[in-house]
Amino acid sequence: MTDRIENEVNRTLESISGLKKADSPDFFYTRLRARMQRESNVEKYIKPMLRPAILYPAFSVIILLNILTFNKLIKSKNSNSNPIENIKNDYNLTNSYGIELY
Amino acid sequence: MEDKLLIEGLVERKEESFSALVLQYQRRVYNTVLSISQQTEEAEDLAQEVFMEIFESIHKYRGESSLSTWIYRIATNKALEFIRKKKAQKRFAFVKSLFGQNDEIVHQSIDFEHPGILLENKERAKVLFSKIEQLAENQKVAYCLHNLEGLSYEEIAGVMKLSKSSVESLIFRAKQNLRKSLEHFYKNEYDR
Repeated sequence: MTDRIENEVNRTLESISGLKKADSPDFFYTRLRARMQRESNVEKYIKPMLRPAILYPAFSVIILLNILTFNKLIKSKNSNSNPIENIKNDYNLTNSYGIELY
Repeated sequence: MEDKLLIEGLVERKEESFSALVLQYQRRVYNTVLSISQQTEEAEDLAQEVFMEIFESIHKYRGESSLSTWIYRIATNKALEFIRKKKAQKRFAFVKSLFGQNDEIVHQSIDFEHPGILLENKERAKVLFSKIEQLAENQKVAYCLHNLEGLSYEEIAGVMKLSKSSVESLIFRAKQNLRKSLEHFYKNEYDR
């Protein structure tokens, strides 16, 4: 039993002894150049946009715009608290005929 | 092309030097990353990344070791980085599975078939590669570079930045560990 295991182990360890080198994939260089070209485009156009000098101010502007929009929204909500009153005011409908519209 | 000319051309970003370098080293680089990573599908991408790094960092090459040693070093590092990333993904998938998220555990390469293995040795080599995968990183690198890539102890010492005796001891321990795990494997096979 031990001899059999020993034999199996030795044969397994030797199984790579006749190993031939694998061929590199076809068109390896062409594909490599294509990938380098792709990645250099990313490097050229996208990476500069991700620099802190660009990224942080852009992020700050976005946050500022968000805050301004939010403020405006709250203000307009408050002024629209009574829409009928607003329409009355806008079209000057209250006092011309001396009657109430509602 | 001679190494010195290749390096000069690469520093000057000459296309013909880069293509000559790729032509000269692509097989060695591809085989190295393939043997260490044991991932046939990923080996080409890894080999490409090796050449991209060579192209980008040729100015860092100081000539302290031969060009081939430097290239082998980049190739082994790339393959090891890949293995670490895979292991991290596997751990993450395992943790996710503990929390009930049904993520598939990342595939383990127990069935790796080296394309250069003789047909009659395929099954045995598969078992051997699965045991090589379980070796410690430095033992695996030393063993693969010596037994699969045919590098001498001196060359491996240059690639791994170790002394020759350290490489000898790494390979000795790798063989011992492989022997132990193969014995265990075949014992289990016979006990079935």
